[in-house]
Amino acid sequence: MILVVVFVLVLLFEIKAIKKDIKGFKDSWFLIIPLLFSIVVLGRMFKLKPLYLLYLSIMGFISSLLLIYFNLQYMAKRDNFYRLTDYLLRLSNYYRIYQKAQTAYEKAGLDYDLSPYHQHYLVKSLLEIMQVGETVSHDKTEYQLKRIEYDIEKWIQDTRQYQLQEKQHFQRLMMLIGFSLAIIYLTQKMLHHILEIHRLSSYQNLIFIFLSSILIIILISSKRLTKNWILKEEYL
Amino acid sequence: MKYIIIIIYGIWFYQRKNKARMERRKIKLAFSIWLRQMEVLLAYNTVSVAIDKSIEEAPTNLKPYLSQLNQQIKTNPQLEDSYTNFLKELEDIKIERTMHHLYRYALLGTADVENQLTRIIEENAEELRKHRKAIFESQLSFYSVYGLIPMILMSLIVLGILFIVLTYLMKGGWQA
Repeated sequence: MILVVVFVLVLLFEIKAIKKDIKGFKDSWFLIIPLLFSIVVLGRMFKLKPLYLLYLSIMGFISSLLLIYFNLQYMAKRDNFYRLTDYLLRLSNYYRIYQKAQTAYEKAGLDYDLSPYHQHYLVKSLLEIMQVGETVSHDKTEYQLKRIEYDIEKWIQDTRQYQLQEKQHFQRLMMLIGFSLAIIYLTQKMLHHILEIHRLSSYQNLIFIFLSSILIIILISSKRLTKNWILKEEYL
Repeated sequence: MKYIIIIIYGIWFYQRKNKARMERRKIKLAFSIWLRQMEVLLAYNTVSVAIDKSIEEAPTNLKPYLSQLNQQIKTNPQLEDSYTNFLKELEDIKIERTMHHLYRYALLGTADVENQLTRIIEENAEELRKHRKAIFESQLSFYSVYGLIPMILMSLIVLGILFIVLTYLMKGGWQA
């Protein structure tokens, strides 16, 4: 119990730390109540004992907190990606107009730190174009900047498309989980005509394990959505 | 016993093949990234200088190959084989074509060759997109395996419930 409380507290601190930078956080809190409620309702539907219901409620509460945490991480990664690509496009545009790196940085926004992404090949190329433009000549900079802007736009497009596809796959997985829940519910409902199966402890254990596994599957697949939007393979 | 040996050999063979394929893919991606950087360097440098300058910032897995190429070019700048032998073990026609154009550009440096090289570099941008999409697709393949888990779980639970009912109806099972 102490471990659970410590875990919840750590999670709440983590959520607090991330939420500062994310605007849409308010929308996430409402997840706790329906998730907790649906877990308990599911337990009731499968006629689980109160003790198992209590366990499920605790697991449901922790899972909902974790889901909020994963959702926040997803939002943070998404915002990071858009902030970076937006900044790169602005930087490139301003450099093309003013042909001065310092002015381009000032116009694009001095508050943004590009250093964590220096090793990404597109960031690196843009910085090199600017450096060569500053030190050698601007003759071919215009063409190269246009090409890099095109590449960045395609990068945004590909990543956005992939993220959408991943979300769709996640939703399909949730549908499959719903489908499996419905089948098991109907199976045990049909068997009630033969015997009151819910009185058997083996049935209680089986359903409890099933519902717990479903929660774990949801958590693992949500965790997958929190991956970084920038591919590590594209770093030098 | 022989089946176990066959299975273990099969797994080992598959893993080895998969590792080699992944390695090839990584080097091809690294080559495309390097060519993207070369585009910037070639604008104001000769080919040999651009290759020399690119080594420092090149993808890690490509550095040994580039150092070797750089060394060969320094020894004999006129030798075409130095360029065309670059990553020859990958047997990739695009890499071979690019290196051939780089050699021609290094040797002739005419506007015509420059245009051809520019076209290849532009094609390379598309190649980079293909690599990116391939990585994304391989990441999505997780769901095709993972999607089976709820179904397998459901089947097991249904079987479990039926087994419970059966043993209950038989008053403790078939031992009785």
